[in-house]
Amino acid sequence: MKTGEQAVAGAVGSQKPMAISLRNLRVTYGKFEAVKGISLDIPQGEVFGFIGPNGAGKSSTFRVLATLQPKFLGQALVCGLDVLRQPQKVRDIMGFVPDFFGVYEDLTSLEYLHFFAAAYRIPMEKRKSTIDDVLTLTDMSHKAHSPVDGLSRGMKQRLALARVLLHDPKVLLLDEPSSGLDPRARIEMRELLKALREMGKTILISSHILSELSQLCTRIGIIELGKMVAQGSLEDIYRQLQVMRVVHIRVENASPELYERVKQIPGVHEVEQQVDRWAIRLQEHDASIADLHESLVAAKARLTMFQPEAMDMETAFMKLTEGKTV
Amino acid sequence: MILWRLIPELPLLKRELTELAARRRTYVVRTVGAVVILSLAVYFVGDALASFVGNAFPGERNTTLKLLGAGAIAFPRLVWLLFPAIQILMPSMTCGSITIEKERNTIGTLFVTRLSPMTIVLEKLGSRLIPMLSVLILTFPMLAFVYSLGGVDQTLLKATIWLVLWECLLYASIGLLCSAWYSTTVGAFVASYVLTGVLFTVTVILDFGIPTPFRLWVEYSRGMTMGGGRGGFLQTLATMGYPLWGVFLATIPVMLFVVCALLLTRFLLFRRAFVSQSSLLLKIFRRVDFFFHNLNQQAGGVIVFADRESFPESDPVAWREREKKSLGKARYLVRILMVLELPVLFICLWAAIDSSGLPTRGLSQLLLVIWSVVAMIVTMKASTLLSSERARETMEALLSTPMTGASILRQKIMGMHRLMMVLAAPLLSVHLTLILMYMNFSLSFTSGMLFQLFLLLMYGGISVLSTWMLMNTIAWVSVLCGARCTTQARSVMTAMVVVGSWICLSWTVFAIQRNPLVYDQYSGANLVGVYGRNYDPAEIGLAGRSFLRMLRIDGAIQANDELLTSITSAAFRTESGRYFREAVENPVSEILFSLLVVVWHVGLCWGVRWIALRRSSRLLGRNDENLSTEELFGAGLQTG
Ligand SMILES: Nc1ncnc2c1ncn2[C@@H]1O[C@H](COP(=O)(O)OP(=O)(O)O)[C@@H](O)[C@H]1O
Ligand SMILES: [Mg+2]
Repeated sequence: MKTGEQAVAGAVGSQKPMAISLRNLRVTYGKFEAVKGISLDIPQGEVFGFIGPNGAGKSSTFRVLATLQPKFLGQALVCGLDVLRQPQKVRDIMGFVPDFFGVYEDLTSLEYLHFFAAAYRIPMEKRKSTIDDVLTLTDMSHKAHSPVDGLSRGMKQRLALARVLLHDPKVLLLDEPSSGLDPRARIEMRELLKALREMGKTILISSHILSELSQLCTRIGIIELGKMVAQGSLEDIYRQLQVMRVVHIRVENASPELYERVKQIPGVHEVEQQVDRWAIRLQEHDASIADLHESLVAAKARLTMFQPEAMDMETAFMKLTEGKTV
Repeated sequence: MILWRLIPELPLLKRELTELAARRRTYVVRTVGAVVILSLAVYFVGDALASFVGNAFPGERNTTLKLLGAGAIAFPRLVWLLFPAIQILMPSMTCGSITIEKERNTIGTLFVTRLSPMTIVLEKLGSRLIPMLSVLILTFPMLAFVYSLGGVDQTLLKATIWLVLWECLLYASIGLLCSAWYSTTVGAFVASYVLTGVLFTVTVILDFGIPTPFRLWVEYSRGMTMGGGRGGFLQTLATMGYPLWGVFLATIPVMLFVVCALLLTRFLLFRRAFVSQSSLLLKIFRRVDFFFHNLNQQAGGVIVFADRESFPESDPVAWREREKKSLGKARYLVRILMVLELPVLFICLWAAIDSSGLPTRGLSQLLLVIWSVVAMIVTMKASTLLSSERARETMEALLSTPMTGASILRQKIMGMHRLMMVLAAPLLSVHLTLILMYMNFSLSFTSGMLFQLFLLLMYGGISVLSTWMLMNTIAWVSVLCGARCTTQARSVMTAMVVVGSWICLSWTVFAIQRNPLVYDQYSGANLVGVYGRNYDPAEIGLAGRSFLRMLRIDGAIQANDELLTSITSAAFRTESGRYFREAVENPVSEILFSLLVVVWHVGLCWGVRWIALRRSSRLLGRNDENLSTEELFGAGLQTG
């Protein structure tokens, strides 16, 4: 994690400004403080995952960045532009998909996109080609002439993405874009977001489901009760939490001696004997997965299966938020 | 304590009452209601006492309701006031009771509880009846005072309480019925008033001589206020010697009606619990369209307006309001135009042909009536412009675009301009009729024909201008009122209350202007004259009138109206045997005053618009850069 000074230097310095920079952001509704001093820096081109349970203050933060929150304390910059002082310019370079979004039931997809193309003041002669492009990108061309009202939730979500891509924004703010989607729509959405990442857009995306973001994001921030609990790359967070990774192995020559030898390997915390496999809990900052493999081979284990488990985000999350919701 | 336990547990009623008690609006409504009712009561009682003192022995004909003390006159008048109060308040109190559960999606959970449907209906009814009665109780001090004056017999008291109670139940059951049928509070609100209004008007107009439910009010005033003489069923029954039984018999139809309405509500409660929220208007239009479409196919006709995909060029918000909303699409507007315009044209035609009386007077009243309707439509539409976006959750997407808040608001109003033009049509056709009639009447036998022609042209010009300005004023006022509300129902109610009070004020001013006691039309004397003896009464009359015009929602139009009468000849004015307008020697002062009123209304429109645009970012709920003066004032003419 960066210190405050470094971050300010990054935002003010002559190099590219941070795509998103929050300084001690506080949002209050009446007496209730929804966001209690969040600081955040997202360099351009990064995909930042914002994770937190419901009511943590994700949407409130998004609303500030989307220039929709007139009153807040602290500083919020988008590409070096102050959200309070230059909201118009911020809106030009930013695309926002709110968490709850309705669509105009009286329009077709094409009309809907034309509506927003006009709202973003895209020149008339470029509109048709731009809209065709985003429809193709979001794979919505076949639904261009159907009424928005009749689209499935996944399609509506894709249409919303198409909408914010119209003016080719540098920064995308996506508030829980895959909530309420079925698994297939969820995967399609993820692929779409990967494509956007390839296009070099800075994306701030939120979710309350962790595994969803782990494949997509370069960095992750975990927010709870209005405070940032942890922030950094996935590895950073694991290291911070000392989360153990589980590696499943199957050995041909299973024996109590081998079991003892495996337990002695540095970094191995515990070996659990299961029906057809051994589950090794590995302390990753002591030994990498590759180290473990080497050591196992050195311990004369004849491996028929070596399967590191996908990063255990749920465990991380539970561990982080332990007892803090009360 | 034991008695208390005998009362069955009423969980829903308890919840509803707790909820009502927690809402600030409840108290605002009650306070306002109480103040209005009480002040009217004071006025009525004062009036009644004055008249009692005035003619020593009113009502020589002795009826069962003996006129002993002053209470006998004042009491029924006071109670008589309660009926319209119930009629006005009750539907608005009940119409939301079930729809709000539908809007909050809590109706399903209500059904899975062990409450039977009839219990739900009855507890809902009770939860609205209790607040209503509590408002009525506020008039008790007044009633007690009047009662203490003497002359009110027990029978009258009992009969009155009985009738008031059933009047409450009657209007509550209709409100509840609408609430069960409609999916939105706004729909139920409008429907309950239309329904009660129509039922009331129809039963009052068609006097069958039998106690139809909605005649209670009229019957009460006939049978009891005046001490008889005019008949009506309450009177008839009372003279038969069984006054209380008569009252009871007379309420039987009401009871039947209430029971039927409640049963129907219970029947509809499930069946219409999960209906979609699409606009009723749109649905009706679709039906009609379907019908016409079929007709067209059989007749091999042409389609004038077809639904096509169309795309906005520059003002997307205005485009959507114009092309995609039911109140914006040309084909639907044509229909609204026909519905509004045909009856008005008919009346105009009738007025033009009927040369016996003074048709212009009727037409001026017609203008105020049309204005009330037009103002309501504009208010409904304008107040939901923003809250509909909020309710459908489309607001945030709209606000994150680079359009300025002022531009969004302006486009929203611009999208209403077509509707406004359609609504202006009936008004302007009345004006046109007036112009034609005055040309007919006056131009033939006066000397300064050119001047009169100029006045007529001016009248036409000002009519168009002021109609347009007033509509825009109402639209902007409604936007201001409804913008911050999150639900459509609330924004409509808020704006309706504001514009509605303005309309009520207009009618009051209208009544004052018509009342020779308060304000003498042709000498400018009385109230104004008494205090200003040193001035020319005509001038003061004009000034006072102009001031009253300024208060009226259609004031600019009415002020403009004076232009016409100023050029009529004295012969025409005395035609009916008495003056109904001031004889104006100097039309120039009329011109000046009507211009003053028009300028005031133009200024009002611009003022309201300016405030709305200044506050646009706050109304919309986002932060905006400071608006340029150009944004505030420029491009203003196109939006009025
Ligand atoms: N407009 C508002 N008025 C009052 N409280 C609000 C408002 N918006 C959000 N909140 C409260 O702020 C907290 C954070 O909300 P939100 O930012 O929407 O959380 P998240 O998106 O992470 O679920 C919640 O407890 C919510 O109840
Ligand atoms: Mg949220």
